[in-house]
Amino acid sequence: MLFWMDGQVRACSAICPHMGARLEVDTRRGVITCPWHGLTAKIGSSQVDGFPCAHPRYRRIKQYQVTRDDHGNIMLER
Amino acid sequence: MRYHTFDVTLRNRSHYPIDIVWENAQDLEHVPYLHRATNSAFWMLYVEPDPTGRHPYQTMVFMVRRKMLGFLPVTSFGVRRIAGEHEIWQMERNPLLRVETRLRSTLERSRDNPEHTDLVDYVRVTTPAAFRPLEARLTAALRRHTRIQCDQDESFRARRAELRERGIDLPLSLFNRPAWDEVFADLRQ
Repeated sequence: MLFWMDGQVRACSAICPHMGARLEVDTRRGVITCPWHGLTAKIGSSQVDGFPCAHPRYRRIKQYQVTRDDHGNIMLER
Repeated sequence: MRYHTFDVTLRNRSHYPIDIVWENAQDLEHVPYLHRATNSAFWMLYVEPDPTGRHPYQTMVFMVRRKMLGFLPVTSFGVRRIAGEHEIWQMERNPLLRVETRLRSTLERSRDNPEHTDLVDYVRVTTPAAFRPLEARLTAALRRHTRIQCDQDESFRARRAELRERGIDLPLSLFNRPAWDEVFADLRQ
């Protein structure tokens, strides 16, 4: 999922690590949220907040480093 | 106090197969998010695991804050049990209004299209006798409520079907820790 925030293109996985809901980005609050169960992560930190479960699978939302080349192409670091 | 009891059967249809609808039916934790127009909060108080391991729980005690008339917060307590494959029993009581619902919720493959699912809810409602004149309105409200929720749940089912097609396996699991587990952990210390 690509989005624009603070003058930068950013990228993160659109799949919630819990049950796969399509994650939503709230650039005003700077958070990524799950519309099904309320999982929340701060954009840039990749750590999941507000989630009491200790299961390691649910504790991170994959976020990617984004770079732009001279032609304006967007490159994601895997 | 005198009470009045009436029965309602609610039928809705999903355009997704029964196993996907069943996942959605067992999940109650999505209620304040996916159904935020009619619910504002949900707390899982106590959970008894399913001894067979086929379901994410066998019995769940919960507290839910519904939005009556779309805005008035009303808190209810309930017990929910997975009674068998594609069947859920639930009892919910609102102590303030003294309204109780007993629900037997079942799923069936649609006869005209086995890839679709019929959701049939048998509900017994008990209210104070003073609410008797409101029976028709309460019945209509229940029908509307379940129809709206079924429509909203279709997005959940669509996504689960899409993930399945893409080979992404994220099985149904409880999201929050039941309040009882935290209380019990505190008492141990």
